[in-house]
Amino acid sequence: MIEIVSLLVGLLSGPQPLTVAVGPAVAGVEVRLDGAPVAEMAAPPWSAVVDLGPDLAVHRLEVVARDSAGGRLGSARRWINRPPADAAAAGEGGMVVAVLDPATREPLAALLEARRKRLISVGLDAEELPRLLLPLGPADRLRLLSPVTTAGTENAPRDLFADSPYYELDRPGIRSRGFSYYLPRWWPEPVPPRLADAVCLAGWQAAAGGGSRAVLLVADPASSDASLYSPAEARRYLNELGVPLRVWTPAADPGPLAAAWGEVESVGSWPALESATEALRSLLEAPPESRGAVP
Amino acid sequence: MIEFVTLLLGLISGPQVVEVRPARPVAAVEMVLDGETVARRTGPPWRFVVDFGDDLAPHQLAAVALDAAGREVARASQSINAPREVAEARWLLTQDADGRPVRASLTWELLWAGEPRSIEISFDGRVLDGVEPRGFDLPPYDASQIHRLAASLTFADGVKAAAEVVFGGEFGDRVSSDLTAVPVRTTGRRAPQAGALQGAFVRAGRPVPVIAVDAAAADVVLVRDRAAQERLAELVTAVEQRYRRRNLRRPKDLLPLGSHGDRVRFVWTEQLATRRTPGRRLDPGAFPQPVEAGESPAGLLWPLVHSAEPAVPQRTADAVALAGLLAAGGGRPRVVVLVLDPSTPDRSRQTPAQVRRYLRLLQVPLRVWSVGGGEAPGWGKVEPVGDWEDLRAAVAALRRDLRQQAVVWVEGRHPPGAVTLAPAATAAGLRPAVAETDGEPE
Repeated sequence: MIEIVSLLVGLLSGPQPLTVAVGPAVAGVEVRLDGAPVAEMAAPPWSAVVDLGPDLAVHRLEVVARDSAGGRLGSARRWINRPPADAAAAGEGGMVVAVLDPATREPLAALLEARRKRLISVGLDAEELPRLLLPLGPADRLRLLSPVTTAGTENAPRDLFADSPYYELDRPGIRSRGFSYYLPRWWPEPVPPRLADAVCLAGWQAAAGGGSRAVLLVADPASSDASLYSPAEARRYLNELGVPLRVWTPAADPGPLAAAWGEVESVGSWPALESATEALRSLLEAPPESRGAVP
Repeated sequence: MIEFVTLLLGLISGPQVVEVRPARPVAAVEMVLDGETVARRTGPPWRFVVDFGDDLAPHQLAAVALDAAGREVARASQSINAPREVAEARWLLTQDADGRPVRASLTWELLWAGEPRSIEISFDGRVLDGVEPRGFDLPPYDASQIHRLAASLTFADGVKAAAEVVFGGEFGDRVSSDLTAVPVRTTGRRAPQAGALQGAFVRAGRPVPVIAVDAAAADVVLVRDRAAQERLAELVTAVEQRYRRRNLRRPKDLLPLGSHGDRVRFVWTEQLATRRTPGRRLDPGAFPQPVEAGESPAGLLWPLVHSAEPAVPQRTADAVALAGLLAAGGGRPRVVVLVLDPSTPDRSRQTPAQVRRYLRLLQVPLRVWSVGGGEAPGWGKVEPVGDWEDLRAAVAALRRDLRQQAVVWVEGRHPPGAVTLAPAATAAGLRPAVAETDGEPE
């Protein structure tokens, strides 16, 4: 009798268009969000705008089809921003979804290499080394989510693909630069990573499997963040999902990172990294009730 | 008066929220899409969901305000999926007593406040340095020939605008501000004169006056994904190095494509931003697929540091559609060239067939080059460019394609694809720039 046609995919907030398909006997549609009526549709094209509020939050959307006398003919429901059921993410051990700011890769690699050399110098087998460096629990899993995307924002005035200006070929008056000059040389400028957005997605994915989970963000205080959502909004969303967040930085002074994200652990030395990893491991081993529940 | 709060810029399909603002109280507002009323509201909020259909196609959307008696009291309209930018620029020409343009001034508008960061003005392809865009005297010219005054403006955030006016020659003392460029292919060596083409172009069966025929300089828009770009760069760099190693004098252009005034522009297949929605939508598809490091195989730090950066999603077909929009906006002979690596996954919203149909509506020819073997499903004929000889052959074919094209200027402003060729055009040796079957199932 009634179906929700809009895909409502991704993580949504604010006003969003909603379209439903209805059977011939339907005279009106009531839209309910988290149990409260928010919109009515009285005629084709059976579309409305539903305001999900400014924050990223889990919502339950319901559309109720009514006949001309107001009687209930049927309904359809959809979760919004709720983590999907993901069998691949489920398992006995815990799961860490890590978001690595590309600017932190080099200092972390330097720490790792120094430690590796040190362990080899005292006679440990090079083949076994990776396993010995900052282990998680025996059944814990790690998923890496890159914050690198060319889509710097999803709220631009129009669809934008990186493009060049027009280059004039065989232009008189200056040294000619033909097609073969421009063809290999034009590359678009990189855009900053989207750290907070990646943290939102990481929380969404981490929560999918149930069980013990955490999101780890490794960021540099000097990095720009081209995210749609702010660190505070990302933190609130993860809090609602019951997914703990740890923020690390290899920089000595967390500076603006702490102002944006709250508690930041400095991992600029090997002992600090070991200590932060131990804290993360303990978090995964904590009883589930202490981490909140997926709505 | 009524105005659109939502400006539907870029490429639009599917259901979209459209908001309008009447300047004073009205009894109702109707949304009229391509002449048909598709939504109506009798009170605020004046927010509508308008379905533009699954396919990309040019549309005209009007917001019509009605009074209590159902009479129209205000109307606003906007073109959708037609060559139109967030910034627009126009030429104003001052004519002397003989009607001959002698002075030009450029005006521009941006949808939000801002002045252009740069303005380039050219006259017949020659850049005019040091002129004041708001008003300057035109250089001396031969009034018996067609002349083209062009401006290219760049604003913040990469927003661009262009203005072009054509006058002289067959235009006489008329200027092209109310003309529409219809791209065609010529089967003869020379394009026919405008006088021989009266009755050769029609809109909805009615003849449209032909003002001029111009075998003008062409625009080429190249769409490339990262893998294809890397391969093209390897090919060109290798040949450049060969010339250097052998101490040979290099030709001016290793891949001669254009002649005087031809232009080339590049579009990347990685998306920079998506269209504004009233709310916010974080699209997981804009991010690379996550990498599973598995069950604690190598500690925490090792995979963090050593995992390869996952590939950024490519939206090849969507980028081709945008390139078509850019190419159609120039009023010149045009071609979009897609250079792809068939092994790169395409996460576009549009299919290749939908995009080819859209380019046909815009009358923008598409050529598809492939740097790798294998099929490129949906893209039709594919030209290999994986080695230097193939690349040279593909560029030569592109050059011939451009030289076959001309632009017929017809009177009035018409949406893309609205003006078509009548049998008299075929008899005069003209055919559409894009075959009518392009984009249809093969």
